[in-house]
Amino acid sequence: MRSYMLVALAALPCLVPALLSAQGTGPARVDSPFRPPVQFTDEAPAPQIPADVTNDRRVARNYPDQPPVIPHNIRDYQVSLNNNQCLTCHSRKYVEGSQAPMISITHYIDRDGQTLGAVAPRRYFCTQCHVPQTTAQPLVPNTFQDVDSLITRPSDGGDRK
Amino acid sequence: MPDDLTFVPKAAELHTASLLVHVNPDKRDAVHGLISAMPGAEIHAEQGGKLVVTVEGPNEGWIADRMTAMHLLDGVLSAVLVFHHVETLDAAPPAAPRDI
Amino acid sequence: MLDRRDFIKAQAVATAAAAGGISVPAFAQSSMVAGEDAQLKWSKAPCRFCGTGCGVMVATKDNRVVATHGDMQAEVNRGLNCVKGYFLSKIMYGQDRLTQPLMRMRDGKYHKEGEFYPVSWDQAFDEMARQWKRILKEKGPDAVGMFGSGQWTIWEGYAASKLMRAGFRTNNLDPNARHCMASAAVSFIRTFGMDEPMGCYDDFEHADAFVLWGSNMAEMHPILWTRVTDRRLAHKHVKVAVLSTFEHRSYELADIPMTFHPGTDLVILNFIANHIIQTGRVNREFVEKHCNFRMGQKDIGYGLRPEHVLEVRAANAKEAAASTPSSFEEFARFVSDYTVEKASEVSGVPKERLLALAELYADPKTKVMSLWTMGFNQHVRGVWANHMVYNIHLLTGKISEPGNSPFSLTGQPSACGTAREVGTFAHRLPADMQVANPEHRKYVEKGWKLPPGLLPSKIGYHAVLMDRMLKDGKLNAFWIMVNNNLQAAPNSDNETYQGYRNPNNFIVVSDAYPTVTASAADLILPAAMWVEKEGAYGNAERRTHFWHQLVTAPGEARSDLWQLMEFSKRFTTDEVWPKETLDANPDYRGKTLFDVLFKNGNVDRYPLSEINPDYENREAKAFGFYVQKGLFEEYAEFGRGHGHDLAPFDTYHQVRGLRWPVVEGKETLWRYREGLDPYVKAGEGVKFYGNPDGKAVLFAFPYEPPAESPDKEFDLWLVTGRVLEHWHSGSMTMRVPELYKAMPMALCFMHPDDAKARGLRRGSEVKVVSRRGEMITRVETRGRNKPPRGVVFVPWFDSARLINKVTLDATDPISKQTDFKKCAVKIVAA
Repeated sequence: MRSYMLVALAALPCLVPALLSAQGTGPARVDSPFRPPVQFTDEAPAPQIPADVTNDRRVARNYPDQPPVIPHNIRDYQVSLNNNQCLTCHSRKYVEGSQAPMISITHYIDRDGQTLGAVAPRRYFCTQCHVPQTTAQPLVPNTFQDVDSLITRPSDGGDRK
Repeated sequence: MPDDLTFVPKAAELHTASLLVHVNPDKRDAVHGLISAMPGAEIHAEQGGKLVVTVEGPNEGWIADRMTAMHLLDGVLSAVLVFHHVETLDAAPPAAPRDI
Repeated sequence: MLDRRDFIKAQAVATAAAAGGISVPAFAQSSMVAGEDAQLKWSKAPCRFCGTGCGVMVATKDNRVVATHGDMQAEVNRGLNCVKGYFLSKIMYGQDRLTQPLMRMRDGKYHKEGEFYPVSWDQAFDEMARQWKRILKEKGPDAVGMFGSGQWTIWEGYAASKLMRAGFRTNNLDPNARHCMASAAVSFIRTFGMDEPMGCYDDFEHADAFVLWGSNMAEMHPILWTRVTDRRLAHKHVKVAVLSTFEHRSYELADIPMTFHPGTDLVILNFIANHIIQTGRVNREFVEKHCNFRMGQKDIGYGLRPEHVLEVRAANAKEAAASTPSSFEEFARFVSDYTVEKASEVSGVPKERLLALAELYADPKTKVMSLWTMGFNQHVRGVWANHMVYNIHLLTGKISEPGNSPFSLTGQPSACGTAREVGTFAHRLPADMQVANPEHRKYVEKGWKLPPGLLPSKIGYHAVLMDRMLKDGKLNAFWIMVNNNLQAAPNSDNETYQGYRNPNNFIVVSDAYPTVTASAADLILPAAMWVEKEGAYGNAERRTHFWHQLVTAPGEARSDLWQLMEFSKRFTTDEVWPKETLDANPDYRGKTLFDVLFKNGNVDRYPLSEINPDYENREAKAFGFYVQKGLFEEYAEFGRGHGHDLAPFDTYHQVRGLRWPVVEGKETLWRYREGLDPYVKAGEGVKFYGNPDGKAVLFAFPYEPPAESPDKEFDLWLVTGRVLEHWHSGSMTMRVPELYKAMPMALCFMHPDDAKARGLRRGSEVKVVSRRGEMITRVETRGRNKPPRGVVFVPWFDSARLINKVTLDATDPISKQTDFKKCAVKIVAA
């Protein structure tokens, strides 16, 4: 069994029936990994609010169609009916000054497949797809493998046991 | 749809896009020839008046130009961008003058 | 570099080909890729999350999902996804997937206080069946129950309904959609005689005005919000009005932003009705021809336990749903009290904004779309709120035509498709039929090929009542599927957890991940999820869409469908059906529930040869017939010819979904109007054919206050809800690193002045305390949600910080849906 969710009662080995240990499986607690192993009725202290990632370093995407995450702070960015602060760096006409990545040309195409002279209105609210990151470290590893690793490494045939 | 906030303008890049081009069947042969002749463009599949075309180039302007050119071809009903990906060429020589 | 370049090009080709419905010949691909192993298989599927129902294309390779993108051919989203949708590829790959059944044991045997041991499926089902049989024998069918979900696929919900109602003969089956859609569903039936909206998403491209009633679409329905944004920014005359109890991201697009005091939306709605009447803008012809009026019941209580003082004090708690015939004149008199002055005073919204809002409805030239979700539905007067918004659309005749659309959004991918249409509520049967109606039961018994009189008539326990009955020891065998109710249910320390750990009860949880609900169970069954099985969902605009099994589930994990059907094999009719029924119908003797429910000549009608050979289908292989097709076709028969028509099974594997009713191969975009709806005959114009007289019903209701309001000690309103990055209890999205890092914990959003007044600031550790319980978190004063003074917002996705220990288990007395939006709390330094 995997250790992340099954906390073996190492302190009480005598309680483990021989029958089951013969199967190579011990007793376990099952806990939501996001919760400290406390009773449901107990509440644990809250950690500090993690800081935002602001290092401006690009993060590799899991696949080409994944929206890149935002590597800088966007707190108090104004996005309203009249103004979109993201576009003041990332739109075509400003990238030369800002040296920020330009938004993809896919964002100039409207719902009917027509290419427009400006960002398509349906793409106006950037944070629906692009999210900043905090420094919080994921509590559960994710075993997703991108295509490249499947091409270059021998396949496990999808067997995730 | 993909998008590309990650590319750094200074570095050399390879842009790959694919388009779905709807063609008037009567003009199919002419359109086929003209697209094949465009630098960076390649036809990969064809079915029921629809062509799957890829365009590769150094920047999004290159891609957009080819797309516009295809739009304007006699016999092309529509050319829709489906996929766009930017790859930074790490091992590339110092950036050459850019054409946009 | 060449390999990589070719690979990307191959992907570009595959994506375009998939978008254009073109098959790419193998040679065309292999000519440009490094090797065959770079090829991906792209297939369509709906998104796994909210009720929007976006189409995604899913790439698989070596039995793994390796990429997803928005489906260009899907009408709903045309190539776009929200951030959650773009990360669908990763939701199945949290490292802690449950891969084998786990049972609490001591000394090698099941024990309520034991630790979890891995067991085989046989051991798991043996114990489960033993417990079910014991409890059925000791206490009868009322003591067993199941809590399902609007995330069940259509056939899973349908199989569960058969197993519970016809197998175990109880209606103690309810979906978590009770927490989500019940108020909407009940109001649909009471107003139109039919569930589900009359409009569809095409209304977005036709409306001149959008009114968000408590909904934060920018975060909760992002792709539909892209369609609102598109319409608003591309058409200058379009107006967006946003109503909420706190400022949030949807305000960014608002022409008329309105923050009202919790619960006072009812006053605003009645004011609009009054404004329409007073300014002479009632569509008299429409109202006379197509509407009836009724006077609703007042003082109906709050759905708390009957001994609660608020229930004892309420005059009509037992007759909450009652109403009496009325007239337009009486309705007009009733709402005449609701002047703009009164509405402004009670709600706190400035008069000029209320008038601007009312004009969007009153002006006959403005096509208006009303949108709502949990703001209305999770409301102690949620049924009333739904009725009141229909009132203003019906008074003006702004309904059932492009752009004029009261539109109830849904929170789960198959709230409409599975929870409602299939009928997994405690009071419902397929296709809007009701368990309390003998004719409906008879009809279903016939369709299911069951002995007459078998189906139980007693309405089962609803979600909150289930928890109370578990705690009180009246419900003892309980199976929870595809939901995390211990995190989701209100007042969970006192009313939910106690029932799960009650020594008299046996609790089974089927899930893909170890949730808090699973950890409180006695038996955990590992579930297959999303594209690990063939599935079907029905979205908020009545769109049914299908997907194939694309990868296999890890380890011993199996779909809910397999679990339900396999478990049915462990019971014989002699064990669970009444002797009289079997005496009168001896042919049914000695058969298993599997035989009579699933090998009944309908469900087992389609052989394995009908399965698309390009895709695996584990359940079909396990049972020896195309189970999904058999279940779907048996179910679809109930709706065909009755306004719920579904297309033939195979069609849905070809198309990007179709909106029911599908008549003669054509989907229906707008219901109840001639020329748009095939059920309205030529010359009828508009016909609300769900009701026998073809008319819709307007109800008059007053404003009544919430169950609990802030006072001296508990001096703040608590509103709970979701955030963009996480879906529901976060069991999937918290396992996607990018989404986790974007929003790792549930914070308490509050006004900076409220924080300051308590000696707190951003980042302070605090307890959110109510009369029922407390949770610990940190203060956020600068976040995306900006509550006014007196209100705090805490989302519920975070299992480390359970805000539902704090919430109140008050429900709408008619729909029995919990009000998660209004209770009183205090915030103190932790």
